[in-house]
Amino acid sequence: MKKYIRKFIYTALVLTIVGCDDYLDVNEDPNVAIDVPAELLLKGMELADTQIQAGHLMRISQFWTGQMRGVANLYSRINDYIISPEESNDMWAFMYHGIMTQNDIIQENSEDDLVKGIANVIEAHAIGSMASMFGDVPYSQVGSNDVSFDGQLQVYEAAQNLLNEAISQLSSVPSSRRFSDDILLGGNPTSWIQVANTLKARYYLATRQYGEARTSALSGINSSANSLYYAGAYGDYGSTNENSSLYFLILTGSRSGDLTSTGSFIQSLLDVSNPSSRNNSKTDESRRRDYLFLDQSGINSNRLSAANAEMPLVTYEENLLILAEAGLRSSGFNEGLTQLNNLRAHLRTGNAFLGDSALNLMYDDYIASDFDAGGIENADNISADKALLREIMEEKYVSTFGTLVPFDDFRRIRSTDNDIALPIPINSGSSYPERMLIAQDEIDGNPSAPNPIPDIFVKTPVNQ
Amino acid sequence: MNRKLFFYVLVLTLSCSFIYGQKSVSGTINDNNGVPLAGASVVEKGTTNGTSSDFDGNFSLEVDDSSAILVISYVGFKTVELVVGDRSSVVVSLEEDAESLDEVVISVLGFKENRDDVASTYSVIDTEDVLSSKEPTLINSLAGKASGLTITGTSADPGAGSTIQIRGVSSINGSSPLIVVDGIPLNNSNLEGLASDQDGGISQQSRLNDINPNDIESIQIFKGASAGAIYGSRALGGVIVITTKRGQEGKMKISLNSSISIDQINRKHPLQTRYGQGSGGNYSPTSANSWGDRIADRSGGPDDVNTSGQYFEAEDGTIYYPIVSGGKNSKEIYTKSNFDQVFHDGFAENINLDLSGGTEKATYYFSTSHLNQKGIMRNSDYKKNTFTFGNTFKFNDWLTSSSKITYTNSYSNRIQQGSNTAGIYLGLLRNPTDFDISDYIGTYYDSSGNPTPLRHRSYRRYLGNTANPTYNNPLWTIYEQTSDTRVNRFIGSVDFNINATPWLNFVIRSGLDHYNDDRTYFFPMFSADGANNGRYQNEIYNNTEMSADLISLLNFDLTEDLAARFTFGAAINDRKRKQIYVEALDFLYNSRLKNPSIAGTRDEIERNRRIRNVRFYGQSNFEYKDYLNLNLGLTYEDASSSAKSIVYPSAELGFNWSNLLELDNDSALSFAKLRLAYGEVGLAPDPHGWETGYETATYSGYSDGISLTAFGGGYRLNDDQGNPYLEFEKKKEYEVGVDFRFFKNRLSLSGTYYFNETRDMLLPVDLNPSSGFDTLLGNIGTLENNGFEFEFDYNFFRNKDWSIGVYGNISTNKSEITELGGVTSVDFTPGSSVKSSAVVGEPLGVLLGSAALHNPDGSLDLDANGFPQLDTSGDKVLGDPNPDWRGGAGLRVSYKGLSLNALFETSQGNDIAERTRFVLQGFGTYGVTGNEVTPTQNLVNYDGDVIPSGVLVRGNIQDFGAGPVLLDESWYTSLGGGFGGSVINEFAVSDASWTRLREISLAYDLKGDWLTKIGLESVQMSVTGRNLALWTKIKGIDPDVNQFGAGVGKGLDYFTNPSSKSIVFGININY
Repeated sequence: MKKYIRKFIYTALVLTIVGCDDYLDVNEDPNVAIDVPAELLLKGMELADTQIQAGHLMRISQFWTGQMRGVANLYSRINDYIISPEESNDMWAFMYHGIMTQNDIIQENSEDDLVKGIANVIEAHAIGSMASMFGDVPYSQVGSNDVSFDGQLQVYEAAQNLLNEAISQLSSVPSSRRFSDDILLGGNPTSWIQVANTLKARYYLATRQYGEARTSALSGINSSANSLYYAGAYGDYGSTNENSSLYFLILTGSRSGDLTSTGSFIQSLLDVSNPSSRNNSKTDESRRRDYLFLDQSGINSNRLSAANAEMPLVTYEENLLILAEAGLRSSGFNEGLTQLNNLRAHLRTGNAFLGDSALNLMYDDYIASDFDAGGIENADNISADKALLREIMEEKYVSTFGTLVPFDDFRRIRSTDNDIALPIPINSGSSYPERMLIAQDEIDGNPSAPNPIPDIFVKTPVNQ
Repeated sequence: MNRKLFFYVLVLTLSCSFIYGQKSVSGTINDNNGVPLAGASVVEKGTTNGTSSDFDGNFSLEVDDSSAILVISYVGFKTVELVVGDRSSVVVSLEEDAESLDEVVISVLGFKENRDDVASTYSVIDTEDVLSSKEPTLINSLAGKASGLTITGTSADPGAGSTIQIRGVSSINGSSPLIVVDGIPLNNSNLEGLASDQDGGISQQSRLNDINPNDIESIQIFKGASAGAIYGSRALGGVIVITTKRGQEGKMKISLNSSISIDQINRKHPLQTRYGQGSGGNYSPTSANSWGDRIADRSGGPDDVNTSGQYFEAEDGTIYYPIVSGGKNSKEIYTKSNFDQVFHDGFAENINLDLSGGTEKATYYFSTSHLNQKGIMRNSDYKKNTFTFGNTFKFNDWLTSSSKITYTNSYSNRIQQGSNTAGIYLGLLRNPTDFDISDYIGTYYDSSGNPTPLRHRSYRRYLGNTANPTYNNPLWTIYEQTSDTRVNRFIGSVDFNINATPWLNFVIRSGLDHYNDDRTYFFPMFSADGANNGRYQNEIYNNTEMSADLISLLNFDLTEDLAARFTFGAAINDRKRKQIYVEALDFLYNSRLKNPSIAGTRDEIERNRRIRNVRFYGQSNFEYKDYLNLNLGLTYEDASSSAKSIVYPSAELGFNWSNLLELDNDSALSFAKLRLAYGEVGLAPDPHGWETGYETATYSGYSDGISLTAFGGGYRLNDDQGNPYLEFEKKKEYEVGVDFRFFKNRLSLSGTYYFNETRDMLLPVDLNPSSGFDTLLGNIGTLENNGFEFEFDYNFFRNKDWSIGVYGNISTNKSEITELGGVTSVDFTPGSSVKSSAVVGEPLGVLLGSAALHNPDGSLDLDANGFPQLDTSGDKVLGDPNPDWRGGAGLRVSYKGLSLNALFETSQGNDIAERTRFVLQGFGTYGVTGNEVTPTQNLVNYDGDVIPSGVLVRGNIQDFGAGPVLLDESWYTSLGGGFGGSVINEFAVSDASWTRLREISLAYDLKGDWLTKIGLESVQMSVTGRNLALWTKIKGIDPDVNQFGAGVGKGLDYFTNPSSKSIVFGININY
């Protein structure tokens, strides 16, 4: 009898041991999806990018460029340049986790060049804005607890390369293909190629490579339909709070009274009753001024504050104005004027923005003499080229409202052509902010983060 | 690989032990109840030939001839000598030596050991003491009865759970002790769930309370890591070993216990009754606050109302019209009647029947109990039924078995509380004194005459004219809302004991613990707390734990002076839990049907959890002569949730130096021992933390969240990175202790000092964004605890009729968080007002919150009016909820059949955030806010208004350091009361030291021939008082309550349901 017991015990024990590793192999998480197709990550990247391009930091850039005003609580302090590095935490998380971590999975696991191409454009869009806002940022080395920062120029170059790769991926699929989970452009490869080229042009402007900028812009966005708008291809856009315009959300949420465009530089720049406004015999900005009015009161469907108003990210207007500036700088006055008038013709259609049709809108073509000394765009008798450049930049300041581009351009023009920079008032002290602060989480967690971090008045390398 | 190597060594060791065996005189040694005695000494008289009995009381010895005399002894029992004669087997029954009771302890593995051989630190709680406290829940009956053991109740809700802590908290992730019942780990979870918030909701149950206290034979608390090391990652918080009753050989015994108890609320918040609802001294029938008019100054008589428009018709037909402006005339106040409509005397009946008996071959034990408790809050209740059946069976001379099955079924309705606008105290205590809560439900008619039936009438909506009552009327909370919990639980265990050789035993033990916890929360339409449109929630937990152990026990006498015992074991454990949650919102019609089909929106969540572990352990116990014991142990463990396996060493040395002295019966000293111990235990990571899964997400920068869900769905890789390198948290502990007994063991003293450190505590840390993730769960934190424990028991007087003794315990524990990986604080509780948190350099659980500005010398930095100012630089440490020391002291007196037992318990130096008081100050209902004073000099209030001297005003005069000022509405509603981070919560924190008469009981044993004549063995009648007296500076609450239930966070009161005091009458009949 004892023999049997002995055998039984041996068997039980041996089985226990042999089965031990298998027995303990139950730690796979039963509560989360772990086999998600890579393509389903694209939409999240798009939302993260939207926040980087059109969210909290973009609004702050608007306080600093006369486009909006922070008037209460946190935003009133930031308006006056009192800002802490915590304000950048979310955008840094969105950049590196929300976009790069997800895109790494897409590039590695997806077989679909359309999705991979779109994802690369989004990453290039986001990292270019990071370089613009913060100067040197982590990029080539991300993915560890000690990440050295890349130089700003190096990041722009990497973004150009990524856009080239994206264009080649997007060009490899039939132009008739669509990816329906793309809420920005409906997964149209042609549109995305154009957006990629406009972004290339945007970054060449930042690095003062005007010829390359013009070349890229010539392949850039050629119609409103191909412009990149937040949720432009999502049918139910604005139907619930969590798929609405970011302006609408902040103007109706708990911080609704903290910011407004009332009393901003741009509102008076567009105000027909203001003698020093940009209105003239060929221009009436009444409708556009009303469209760009942002305040907790007066939210309506004609205005950018509407729940379903599309927020611009990379647009036809921007592309035309890059062509105008780069054309002026690389091919001369006439090219610049032609492209500016192309934009004015587009504005003239009344389809470039929503707007209250009861309000006036006029964008007649300019002629060369308008920019001659004493012309309607040159009252202060500067050179015609300068006067045209000034008008192109002023137009771009209005046309790219709601993006980081006005902040980019304003800093760039003060560095290259300070004499014609827009007379935007300084909110506090005697200097304009030149950058955003590196995120507190990055300072805390990355020993290679600069110490001390550059303050907001230190120019980024491209503007030094 | 290591794991397998370890095992082969084990197998070899085991197989060696089969090699030989011999023929011998064998026998079984039992106590006089038939319970086998392990380790009893059997010596052939006049020789050194001897052995000791095994786990099952069996022994076998080669003796010279049939004239040999066996001397059988066991500590605590009278020694027996017997002649072998021609018997080849004997059954010896030892009688207890009355002078030395309690000398047997149960080891953490469930085996009996001689207490003087044990070098671990433990406390024994007698089943008598558990039962005499007559608590309806088992855990609460342990309070005050052992040093280093802290029981913190949550509230007097019937069936509510309690926290058990041994030597403080050993991990920021919690350290409840392991409960081992008859060698099988028992689930004692305390799950909050999705439907009941940690800071609000209801007091959840503790699963240990499913046990029938009457089934318990003994409870031992093993405090140190050296004893717990054998259980590895489950013994971080110590081990509580419970042994349950078994049948005994002999005639059937029947025991019937019955008790009834009457419970009352033990502390009431003082509320003011002088001023009405409103603000600024003006009455308003919809105001949140009671800063209204002076009720005595009203004209009296009925209120002036407007009967032309909307009105509310209560169920009894009473009609409430809008009170016109300035029309509040009534001087009636309702504070007492409102209170009495909510609270009443609770009542509980408890009946227990057990039958036991057996033969030489088999024994049986059967018990059943029924508890029916009505709580002190009306409509709250707890019903519990238990059935236990246990038996032992002796198959032959080498195989015996023991098995037990317990079934528990309970039902309870507990009342919503805490930070919860649908909670009871929130609505009751904020209720103005001039609002009668009686008519809480009825029909609202709007000004066009449209009726809305079943409307909720509350003090802020006295016409019931909106769907949202803002705060619940407490009667609505009691009578309309329900929070039912139904639990069904089976616990089964089987032990086989194989007596392989005289010196080798195998025990195969397995257990199954399964419960189903089904909770239904029902908030009808027009409830507060976001349930205006109705809310039905059902949450079901299915929990199953299985464990199996294979243990081999070896006993040797290596030499004449050195005995050795070895224990080797292998154990597996599997715990799985499924949670199913259904939430149904937006009722389609106003129904009281508790069924999700009445709702327009339904949501379901399912969560699964599974963890397994495997342990191999070896323990050796060497006993040199009778004065030196050395126990060495090694446990290997691997858990499914840990990347690495772990080895826990333990070492204990006991030196009974009194045995080196020549002590005789006249010596004052009877016994002295020095104990040294070192041990390690751990805590396995929560399961499923290795992978980084995918999740849906909301992207928000600043008040602008956009979600994937709203855009048709999508995923992202989780920003909280999984960590495939997660491993066990590790605790090591050093102990030194002494035990003394004097005067023939009548006085016993025991003291222990311990120091422990837990490192690699799991903690999520913020990552640099450029790492690609936001947080990572890692083995990061470190925590230290040290303390001192002391227990005494002195039977200082005993004669034929009298016995008088005192007993008690004192313990201290100091903890300090030494490392949190750069994290500023880990908050155990949510909210922005006061949190219980872990902060580096501070004790665990300190109260963090908004403070007053202080000068460098510590005095208050006052404003121009002489009032304190808010420190806006962030949260400060406001207090420490951990006591400096705790203690219990009791007196035992018996005279003939009459016995008295009184137990006092104290906790000194613990702080509590009295947030209920502080918030009520803001609402103007708290007692002090009704005070009136006539200043003798001009004063200013917080607003800087001058209060003229000589005029009676509402308020209190206080001097913060810059002369007297008047505290009135302007102070209590700005910085001196209310909630949130912009009030000075420092003023809500107070010293909550307390001392209580935990229990006092008087029992009488009926004796006499008439008893036996009617067939009874004994009858005992008793009356017990629980919590009858409480001494504390804290008003309004029992400072032992905790808003956060059985979690790590403590020292907070926020509209937490109150505690109770009770008187219990009991009778115990034995047949």
